[in-house]
Amino acid sequence: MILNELNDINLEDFPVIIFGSGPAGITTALELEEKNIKSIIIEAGEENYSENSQILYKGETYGDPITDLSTSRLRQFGGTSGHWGGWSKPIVDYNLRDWPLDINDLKPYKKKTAKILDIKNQFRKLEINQYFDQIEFQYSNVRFADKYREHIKKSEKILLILNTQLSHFVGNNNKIQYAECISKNIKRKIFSKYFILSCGGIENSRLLLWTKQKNPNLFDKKIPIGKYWMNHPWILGGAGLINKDKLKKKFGVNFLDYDGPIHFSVKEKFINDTKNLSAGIYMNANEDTKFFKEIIKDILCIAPEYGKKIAGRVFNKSLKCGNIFMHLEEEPNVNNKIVLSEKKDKFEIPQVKLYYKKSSKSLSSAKNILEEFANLCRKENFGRIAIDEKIFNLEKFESMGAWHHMGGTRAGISKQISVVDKNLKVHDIENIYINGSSNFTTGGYSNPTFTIIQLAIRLADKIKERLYS
Amino acid sequence: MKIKYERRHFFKKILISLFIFPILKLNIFSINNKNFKLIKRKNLIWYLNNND
Repeated sequence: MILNELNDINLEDFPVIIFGSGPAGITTALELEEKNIKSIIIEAGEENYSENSQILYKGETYGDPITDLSTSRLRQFGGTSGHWGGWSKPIVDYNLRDWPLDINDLKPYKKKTAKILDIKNQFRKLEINQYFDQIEFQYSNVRFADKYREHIKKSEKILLILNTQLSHFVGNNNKIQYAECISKNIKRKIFSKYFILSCGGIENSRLLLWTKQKNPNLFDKKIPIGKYWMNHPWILGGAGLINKDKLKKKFGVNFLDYDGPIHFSVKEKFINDTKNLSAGIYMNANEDTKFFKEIIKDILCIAPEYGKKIAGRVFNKSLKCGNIFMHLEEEPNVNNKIVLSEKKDKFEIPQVKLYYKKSSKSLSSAKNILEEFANLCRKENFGRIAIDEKIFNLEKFESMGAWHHMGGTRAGISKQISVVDKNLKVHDIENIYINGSSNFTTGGYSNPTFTIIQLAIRLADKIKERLYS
Repeated sequence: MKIKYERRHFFKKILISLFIFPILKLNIFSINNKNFKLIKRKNLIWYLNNND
């Protein structure tokens, strides 16, 4: 059922309340429904996009430039899946090294995640050499609101309540008693057994910080809520040519040959040997012809012998030519953090201040990875790569976008450096869980949504275990 | 025959460096070592083999 506001209906039947109707919140509700457990999803936004709702996502940013907080996420039914790019890939095992869980904790949910995202559960990889893999992404078109609207409307186990803002939780003795919500200017208390905060990579921290301020004795004083915030800087690393025929010749049928972008990533050995962070390398499916010609012209000038060999292939589909983009991992930094602003929104909840400094290690890793990749392509004659000179100078480096908000309520064992435990339950509080990318201990290089969904399905399992224990 | 070929090749290189490179506003720096060379053109640093 879907309601447009929180009214006086009886909510006692629902043992789980989920705040946020993005991919994480909806997935957990669907999973609980399969397990015959009723849940309520409380969504602050409206059913569709609205400027009035979106403006409430405003926040201040300090430090290095970052994509505006009111445009990089959506405050509406379906959350940010309303405008996401759909790139999907599970996080790789070596990116989980500092997490309190490992790849075997996520694997059981891979098939189901692919089904939710309407993609093939196929993420092949080909070892190119000791340092690089060719990797495969899948591309999802799922908008969670569109896909699940009718299902939720008809569901007897899921109640979605729109236009209802969570203000904060109230609790004592290591337990949340109720959540204070505001719907149509009326404050209401919602009681339940379990509360799941599923509002995204910034809101999760904001609402938890506000709860901490309202309940000074509820949390351990040192708990790092809002800290270790991370992103995936998306950069233009350079340009180049990749000759797919050469790769096919060397790797035969194992080469991942399909129309579309071509992806590579570094292997764990590279990270171990060089102490760099990880990154994904990406070449577009189709570059614009003008740029293509520019590259060929440049190659003919600076490498005439090689240029002659490839000039004849200009119109051959096996020659990938164009910009090289990179998705970079950022190391968790305690000073990259979300704090509460003195300014408040119309619900009297403090807005956020985000402190963010780009990581010099990410950029030096990008340079080292591209250099290694350029030398691999040159030596093995897979193509020729050029690195953008800006990558050598951190000050001139600009990220082309920062859309993946991670960390802030990171998972871990120690309360000093983490907010939630392995099961995504907030340390020392019995009945509140956090859902979404704010739990990421490290960011890795993969786009986060696939992992968010895996964790959300797993969370439903953990809730079920507790309800029936 | 061999001399003629090398001479022709030499002139071709001269022609390229005199006319084509300036026309394309080649902004070049070059680092050579025995295996490979780095050449900068515009804002890009290309990783090339010596025989490229």
